[in-house]
Amino acid sequence: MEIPRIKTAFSYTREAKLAAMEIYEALGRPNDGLTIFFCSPFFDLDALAGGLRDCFRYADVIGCTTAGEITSIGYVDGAICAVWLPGGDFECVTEHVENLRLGQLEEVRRLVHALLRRKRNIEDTGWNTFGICLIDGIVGFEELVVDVLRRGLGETPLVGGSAGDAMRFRETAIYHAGKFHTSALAVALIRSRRPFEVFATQHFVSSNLKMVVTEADPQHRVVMEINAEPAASEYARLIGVSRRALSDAVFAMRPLAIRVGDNYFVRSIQSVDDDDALKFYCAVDEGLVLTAAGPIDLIDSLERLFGAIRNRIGEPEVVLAFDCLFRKIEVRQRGLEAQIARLFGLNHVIGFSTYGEQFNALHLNQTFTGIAIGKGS
Amino acid sequence: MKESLLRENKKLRKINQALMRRVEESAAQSSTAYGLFQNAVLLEKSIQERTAELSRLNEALLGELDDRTEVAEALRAAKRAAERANVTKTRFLAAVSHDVMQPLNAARLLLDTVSERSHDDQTMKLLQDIDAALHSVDDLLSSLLEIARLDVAPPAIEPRDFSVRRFLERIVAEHSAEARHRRLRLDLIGSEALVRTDPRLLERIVRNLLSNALRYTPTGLVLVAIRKRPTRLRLEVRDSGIGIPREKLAEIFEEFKQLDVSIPRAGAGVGLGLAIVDRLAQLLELPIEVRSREGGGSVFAVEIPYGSGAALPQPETADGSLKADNKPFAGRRAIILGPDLEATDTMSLLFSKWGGEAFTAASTDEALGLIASACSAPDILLADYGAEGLDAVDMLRTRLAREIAAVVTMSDASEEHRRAAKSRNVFVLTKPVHAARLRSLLRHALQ
Repeated sequence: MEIPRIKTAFSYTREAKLAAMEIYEALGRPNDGLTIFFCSPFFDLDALAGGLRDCFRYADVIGCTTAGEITSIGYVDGAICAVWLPGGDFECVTEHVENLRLGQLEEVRRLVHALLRRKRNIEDTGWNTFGICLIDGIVGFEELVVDVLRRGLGETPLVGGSAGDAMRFRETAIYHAGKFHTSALAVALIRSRRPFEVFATQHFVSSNLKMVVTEADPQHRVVMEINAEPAASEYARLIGVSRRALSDAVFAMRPLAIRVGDNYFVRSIQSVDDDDALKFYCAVDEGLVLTAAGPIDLIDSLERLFGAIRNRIGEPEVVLAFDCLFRKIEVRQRGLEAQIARLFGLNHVIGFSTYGEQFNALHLNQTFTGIAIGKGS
Repeated sequence: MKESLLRENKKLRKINQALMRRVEESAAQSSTAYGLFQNAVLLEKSIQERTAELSRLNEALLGELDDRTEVAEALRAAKRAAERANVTKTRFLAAVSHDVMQPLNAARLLLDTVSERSHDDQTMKLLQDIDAALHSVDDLLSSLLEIARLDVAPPAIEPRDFSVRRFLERIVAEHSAEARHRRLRLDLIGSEALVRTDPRLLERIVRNLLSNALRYTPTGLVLVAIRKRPTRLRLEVRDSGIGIPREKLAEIFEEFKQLDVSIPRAGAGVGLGLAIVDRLAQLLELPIEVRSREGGGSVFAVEIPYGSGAALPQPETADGSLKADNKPFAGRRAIILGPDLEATDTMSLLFSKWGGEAFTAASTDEALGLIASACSAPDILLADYGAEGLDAVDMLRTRLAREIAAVVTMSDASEEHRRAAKSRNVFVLTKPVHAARLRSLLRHALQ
């Protein structure tokens, strides 16, 4: 029996309708399974939604805006990329909720119920299920959302990314059911006969440089004070750069991490507020001990990850990646673009630069998270 | 020097305080965003360990699975064969039905011609019987043809938004003559709402359910009810007819199942209507449900998604004014619990007339299901259960952990029952229930 091929595509055209058509054609005009796309927020999103609706009609499509797209030629900006999981080997149910606000999780619970109810239609023995979530990256509720998802979905592996808006931090958009939605969440439950492997990897080691958060507003992910000093100045002083030199590149290369259990988790800094506070991409509570972390070889850590994946499931047909935008910044700082492009090409990576990554019940920062799907026999 | 020491001291104290708060927070298993993250990390580790354990077990099971795969393959082959047989049967039916239809029409035509001549009474009676018999063969064949058509070439579905009340009014009006003829009351209750499905196919469902209800109800009432459930609209066709024995409930949607043959009557059903309903409902992806008690009537319910607009505004009274006093329970939700469909229906009808939203349930389990699907508790509970109603109220209050206002009905309440009700803060309504009493008691209970 012929195994349907997973297809990927990307388009550089800036004309939204044309981009939708190019993607649709390059994916082989899908009319079943699931298509997942990631696009630059600079597209005319209404026109793009219209184009996708016209092309894909009733086929399931989810997607989101990004802080950069990831294709087999490496990191790009201003493009749209997509992957099609063919209906023969993948069955899916999708749902979304929009206009979510902090502390308003009832809608998310309803989404989980709807998914679980519809999931019964795709259940069968011998196939395994995984989940993909695309979450707004601005509102700042990923920890709460993944908690609800995990409670509802049990131990179904779940990976996803926080949608971006090219670092303008104003609004992200998530596509489902023919439209873009703001402050939204889209979840796909996918049942597949293919082997797959979910992963989350980072490339940092902790140091002995530790500090204590003495004042924070965890709900808004703001740290006002570290060591009872204004947070930004204290962070700058401790890592040995001047307060004015703080930038995305510094945040990317000298991140802060917290220890939970035996592991350190990077908590990325998004920006410096006017009053010398630090805004993070995830929740940070008062009294937490932050450890300054230093990067290890990003390329090496990726090579080892892909090696491990190949050992488990053979050559992947696609690797769907949710990759922290700081990794892209670091790659560009260090001039590693060509090496990354080679690795992404060899391993059929497609994905986007995120404001945060979700792995099961975890909301992570500065990781390369995702799912590798094997060829099946 | 002293200055900087004091400052350093102050800083350390603040750090110390933050750390102490943190330690306390951790011990309290907090559900803040960060707390959730921390719990998730720790949980993830234990899940990974368990997954590793499971995959070891899995490998052991794989060998066993290989054997089962062969069995599964054999089963699949059998299923394919059965499906092929079904298709063949359907085609055969379609062909036969069509071929029989022609001579049947000819026979009826001939019969008409013979009837036009004058005959004695006995012959006339015989001719009428033959006509009735041919008529039911005609019905049977039409139904068979429709089923065959549904199986071979399902019609295209064209869903759109439409007003369900107006839609039903038309269908009910068209059946009112038949109801009168059979001396049955036929009513439509419930307010207007927008639904989304294929109205043409839904009409065929409703028509079949309605003819069925009229056909199998010797005396009493056939009721078409619109009930607004939180996620879907529920369209019910209720009757006070012969009912369906519990063990037969599952098979009534199959072809040729007609349970009661004890009412011989010209044009009596051929049991195919429900098979058509079932196919159409599957086509439209509308869940269908049957509730029935032998001798106690039946309820057939179809659940339909709402249209994209919200529920339409309530129709206003003739002079265009809505007196606030007429709707004392606007915005209130009641669950009406009781085994007697007609009684709970009447009370639910009254409650909706008074502006509230009422859900009926036959058991406490069903009530809990309703509450769970609505994601919120009702404002009042009305148990039409006699003295056992008190237990039902107790049980629901305990499960919901809330002292919901409650009324129970009793036909002759003993002093003991009254005391028991009072101690539980439950109101007692003596039967028979009068609308005015019910209204004032509910009002009182809700205060």
